[in-house]
Amino acid sequence: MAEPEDTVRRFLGGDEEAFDRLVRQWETKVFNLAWRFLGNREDAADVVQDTFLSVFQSLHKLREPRSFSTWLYRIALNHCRARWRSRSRDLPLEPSDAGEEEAQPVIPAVPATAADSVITADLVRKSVGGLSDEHRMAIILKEYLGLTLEEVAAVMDCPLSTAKSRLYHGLRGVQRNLRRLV
Amino acid sequence: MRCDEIQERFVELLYDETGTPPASPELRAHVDSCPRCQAELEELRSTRRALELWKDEPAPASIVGRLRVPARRPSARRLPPAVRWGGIAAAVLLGFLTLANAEITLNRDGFTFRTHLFSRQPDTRDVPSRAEVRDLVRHALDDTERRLSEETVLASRQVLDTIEQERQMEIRFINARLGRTRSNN
Repeated sequence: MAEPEDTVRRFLGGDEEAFDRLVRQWETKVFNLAWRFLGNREDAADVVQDTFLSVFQSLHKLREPRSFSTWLYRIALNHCRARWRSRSRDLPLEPSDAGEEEAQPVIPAVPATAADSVITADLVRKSVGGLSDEHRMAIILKEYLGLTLEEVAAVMDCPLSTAKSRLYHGLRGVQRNLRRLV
Repeated sequence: MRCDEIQERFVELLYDETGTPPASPELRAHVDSCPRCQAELEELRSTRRALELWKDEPAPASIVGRLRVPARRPSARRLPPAVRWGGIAAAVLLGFLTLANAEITLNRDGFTFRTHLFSRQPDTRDVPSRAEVRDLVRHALDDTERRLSEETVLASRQVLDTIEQERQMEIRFINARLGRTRSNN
């Protein structure tokens, strides 16, 4: 598979099909970012569409194709925030499609407490969903999208120390939520 | 080093990243010697393992089909470079021709192209001054008046001549009538 920056350069050079390849390369990651942040598949699918529409319209403004992923995630994050603001925070989180088969308790490899021994994927999802916007996004970017700490800071447009702090408090928040839910 | 002051820096110990400055030796030394911080760090590691339980979801298959982007890109970059530069060159040429007041002719002698970009400007010495223009206008007006007077005199003379001719004809007519009356008597 071509590197994202190669695909971006081809698109900028006039290769219209390069954009389709770009979408296919990144849509799953953008979808999961949005789904984990919003907790709703329909909203997440809309965010994917809005994100790639924005990408299409402004990709020519991207100075450095190497920073495409950071730039893309920042656009997606902005669309997530906009959609989140337009929704009521009290809406219940949508059950996961994979929840049926994961209904059985999953035993963590190294339980820190006795309560951790019955943690399920659905409980994790609810624990992350209960975090503040900034803590939730830091956890998603670092733990699920695998960004470096510096990339997390760049996407969230904040200093590195702030990104670390959000990540730490995000992890602590997940810890607390899991204890409440288990 | 106090425990509550360094806990936010546990992130440096949790994520061993290349390219990121490593955790300071002081931080590591404190955690190694502090059971409370060790327990805290272990709980964070356990939380990270729990997060792994929440797997990625496949994107809905319909997303690519739903994606409706404009058929053409909004920027000029969508044009092939040859077309883009060709357009710029045509615009420059058109601008040059406009400035040069170009004259293009096609006749039996063939095709000719001539610009007036470097032609001699009109000599300002040939242009009369304002006073000269005023004198010219005044002279023209005077001349017009004179011409009008001459035409009026000429027309008056013609009218007088016509009247005189008619008077002579009437005299001849009366004399003729008198002659015929005398002969009848």
